[in-house]
Amino acid sequence: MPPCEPGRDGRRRFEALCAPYEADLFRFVFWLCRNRALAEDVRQETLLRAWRAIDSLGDHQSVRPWLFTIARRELARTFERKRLDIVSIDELTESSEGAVDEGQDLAEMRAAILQLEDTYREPLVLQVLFGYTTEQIAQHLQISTPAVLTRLYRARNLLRRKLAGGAGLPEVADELP
Amino acid sequence: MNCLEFRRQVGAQPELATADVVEHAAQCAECGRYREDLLCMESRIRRALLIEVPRRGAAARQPRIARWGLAASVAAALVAGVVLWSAGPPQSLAAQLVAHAKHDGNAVGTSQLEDPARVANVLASAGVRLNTSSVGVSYAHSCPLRGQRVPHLVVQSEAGPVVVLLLTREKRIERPQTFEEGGYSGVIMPAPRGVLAVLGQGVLVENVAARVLAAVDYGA
Repeated sequence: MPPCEPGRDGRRRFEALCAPYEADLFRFVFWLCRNRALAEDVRQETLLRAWRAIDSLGDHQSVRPWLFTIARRELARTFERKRLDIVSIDELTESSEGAVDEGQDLAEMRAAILQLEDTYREPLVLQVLFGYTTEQIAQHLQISTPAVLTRLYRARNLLRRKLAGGAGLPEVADELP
Repeated sequence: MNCLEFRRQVGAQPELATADVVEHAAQCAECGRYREDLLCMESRIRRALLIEVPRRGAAARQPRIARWGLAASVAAALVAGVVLWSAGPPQSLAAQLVAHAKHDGNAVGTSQLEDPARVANVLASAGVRLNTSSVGVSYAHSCPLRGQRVPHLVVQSEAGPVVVLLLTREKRIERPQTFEEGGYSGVIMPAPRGVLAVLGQGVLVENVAARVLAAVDYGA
């Protein structure tokens, strides 16, 4: 049986709570799936699910993590439903050029981030773009805090190497235990 | 703390500033440079992640919308509800203002008023002056933003602190533009030179913006 949809008060509450995070939601999904069209689809599906479940959101619950969790599940469902086309990194880079035109510097950084594995990219996005603490990232990803720290360290290390042309940079410790 | 421990911690959290980290960075030049490099890269990462966000519905795949069936009416209502919210200024400027406010989030942490001389110096770099007797400034810094040095102030309003950014070299706009992004409410006001942006959380920024704008002297 489908869940009941909220009434007028529910709609007001939904708009007041969720609308401020729509941009964050799109960016979060984009950096997970690396596809703008899919990110837009998932954003809409996420808001629809959030709309239907708005009454389950507690007064003291944070809205953004709630939306991100819904989005993450929705994206996983999308990947399960169909095998998505494999997109080359060149195409990804090209498709992201219209995002923010701030020159070669940002284009290189964006390309490097796009090439990171999902396991490194997601915690980095949560930390840098959305200000999540390592504990919040651990809760979101359902992994330990030390594991989050390791992923964040490696993500930055990989970015430094990519931006240095793969030659690598002087490091005291390249790998963490 | 040794170099390995330092790099483990700073590599995962470049903005970490515990006593151990600060002390080691001061004592070890190589690790100090490592931290500086990472902090510099952090800003680039943040800006790279701030991709343009399409207005909702504009880039949606039509078959996907059609598949919603009964839910389409709900979606339409939501789109209508968000139109005013999304009809703000170009996302890139609003997004960058919010990102900058978040980046300097600690700036709003104090309500103690800044030395008026420092405020005057920061504003002088942009060729403007502020009547600090009518506006309480608790933070003043000249920040790089959109290719220019921008006075970044935190003004204490009755409803709480707001971030004020004076972009004197920005293209002028015809009328105030409001936006909601990343938990911030903001308004971009046309100014005698460029624009003046005010951002806050849970604050009616338009009222504060009008008061601040009236207190700024842009000169002849």
